[in-house]
Amino acid sequence: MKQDIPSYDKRFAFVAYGLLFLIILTSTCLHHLQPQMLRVPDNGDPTGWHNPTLDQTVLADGLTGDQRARFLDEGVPNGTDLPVQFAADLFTILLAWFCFVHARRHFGFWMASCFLIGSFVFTGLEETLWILSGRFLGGLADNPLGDTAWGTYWFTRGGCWFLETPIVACLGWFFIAYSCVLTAGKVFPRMGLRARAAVGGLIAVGIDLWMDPVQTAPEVMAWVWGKADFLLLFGIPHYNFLGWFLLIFLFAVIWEKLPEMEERWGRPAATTRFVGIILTLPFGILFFIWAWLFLLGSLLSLLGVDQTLHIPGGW
Amino acid sequence: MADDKGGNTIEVRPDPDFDRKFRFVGWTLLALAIAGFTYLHYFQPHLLRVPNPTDVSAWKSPSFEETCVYDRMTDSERAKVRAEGVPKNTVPGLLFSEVFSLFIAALCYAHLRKHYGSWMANCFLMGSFVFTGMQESIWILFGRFTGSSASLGIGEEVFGTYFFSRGGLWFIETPVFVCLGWFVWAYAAVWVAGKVFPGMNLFGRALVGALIPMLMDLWIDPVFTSPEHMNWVWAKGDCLLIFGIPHVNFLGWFFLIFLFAIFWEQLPKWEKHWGRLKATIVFFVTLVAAELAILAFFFPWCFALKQILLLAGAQQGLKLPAGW
Repeated sequence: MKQDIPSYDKRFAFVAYGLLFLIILTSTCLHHLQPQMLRVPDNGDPTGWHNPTLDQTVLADGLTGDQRARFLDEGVPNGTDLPVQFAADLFTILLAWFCFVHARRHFGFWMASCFLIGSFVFTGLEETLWILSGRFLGGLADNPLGDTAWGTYWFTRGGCWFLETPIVACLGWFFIAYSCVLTAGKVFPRMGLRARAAVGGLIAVGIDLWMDPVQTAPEVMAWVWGKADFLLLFGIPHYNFLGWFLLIFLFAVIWEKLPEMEERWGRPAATTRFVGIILTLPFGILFFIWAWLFLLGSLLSLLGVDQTLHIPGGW
Repeated sequence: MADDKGGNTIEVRPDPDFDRKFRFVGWTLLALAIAGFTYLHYFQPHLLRVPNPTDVSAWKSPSFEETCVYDRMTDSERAKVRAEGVPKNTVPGLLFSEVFSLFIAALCYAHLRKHYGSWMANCFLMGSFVFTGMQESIWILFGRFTGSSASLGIGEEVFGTYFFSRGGLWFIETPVFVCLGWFVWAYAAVWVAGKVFPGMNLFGRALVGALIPMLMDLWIDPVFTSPEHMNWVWAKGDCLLIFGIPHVNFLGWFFLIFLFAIFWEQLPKWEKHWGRLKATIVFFVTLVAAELAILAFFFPWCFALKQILLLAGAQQGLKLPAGW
């Protein structure tokens, strides 16, 4: 456990949590009160969706006739019910609080706060980059198999938002990432840092593999995928799972390097470097995944694959 | 599975003579049971009224229209299943499921044997078949032959319980890969619980070990029962559905793993009291008694839950989330 340095930790908490609060406040106001600025899809009117339109989403193919009619009439389930969405925020905050208390007790306030705030910055920024790039650039490019890429995805519901990612998603990422990396460390205590981070990332991907199809089902619709990917696992674009693994693996490695960075440069400089890394790395991951999609898609195309691969078949 | 020092080991001395005999008798009985029930399933399906996976219109208790999956299908999906039968019911697919689950189970078994010895490892593996395979089969056959269930619908009839639509080898009416899957899940979850909470006592660890797979099953079940898979099929009629799955399924997962973990960890203590042979007999008899008790418990539980929901003004079964 890292010793607390009360004078520094107090300043760090004030600045970091203050900034986080301001970003959440601004993003939430923009999302609910000025939705046209970031072209937020209207939960109450799916016919008005663009990039992708309803028929360009993966969801559209799984709707029964009754579900489609109800959806067009009523919109996203609980999509306009703000009290329900804020209640979900509160529940997630409670779960994240348990994790934060555990992290603080075992790793100290500074490390715990770096994990929590890092989760928002790292995952919130990464997801928002994907969401907005799809929303603003969707439909401009074809995937290597020749299908038009109709945007990426977006979250339908959320009380409070960090950029265009609901805080429920950021906090969910925080407690899944923290628990998975902690569990990997407990089960394989003699493993090196990278191997533990890899196991933590794999556990999280293993969980997400089952959670995603449920959360994107017509009855829940917590987020919506645009059609475009050439490899779908349980109806979810494969780069989602690649992204989950990379995010948790890299974050765990960087976060566990914090004590070493502090020893070398002192706590303030270590914090600055940590924040700098997690602010720039999402762009690196974004470019890596684009390159990955291009290369794998081209390879599949060369192998004669001419339409989207569904694993398992029919999904 | 944690000892006083926080390590996941229980000291059990080897008894090569007994262990060899137990292995021989136990594995032979298991192999004979699997061979017998697999033969019955494929060559005498009328005896256990096995639903035909290639002809869903002939299904009874429940009929195709009386299953939960029916309501979630598009018209084209229904037409396809009526014409082609249950999806993925192919020999290579079934073979893959069997071989893959056998491979993962072998890894778990090797780990188990290394840490707890042959006797404890075989009790866990065979116990998994007896406990979960028998429990599931009783539940499946009860629904199939009576057309009813412990689950009580609100505002609708109950049409049976559930069944597995495909499998390669069978233990009674449960596919072998399901029994092996349960073995892998139960062992891994209770092991991880012991590692993450080494200071917890047996009940605490069994509780956490049972909650992990139950929560994972919450996400896995809706995927495996979806129209694209139909690995198993639930009859309509439960008064509380979670992601389209009758809630008794999750209760069952919890109780099975929680109780199994407790009984299995009692083995060394029982051996000290009665010797290894008697401890083994007590273990398997306890498993059978416990699974019958769990099934019996479902009846008053479902009755009480239905009354509570009716008192709360429910006009139909509760679905979480709504509409699923």
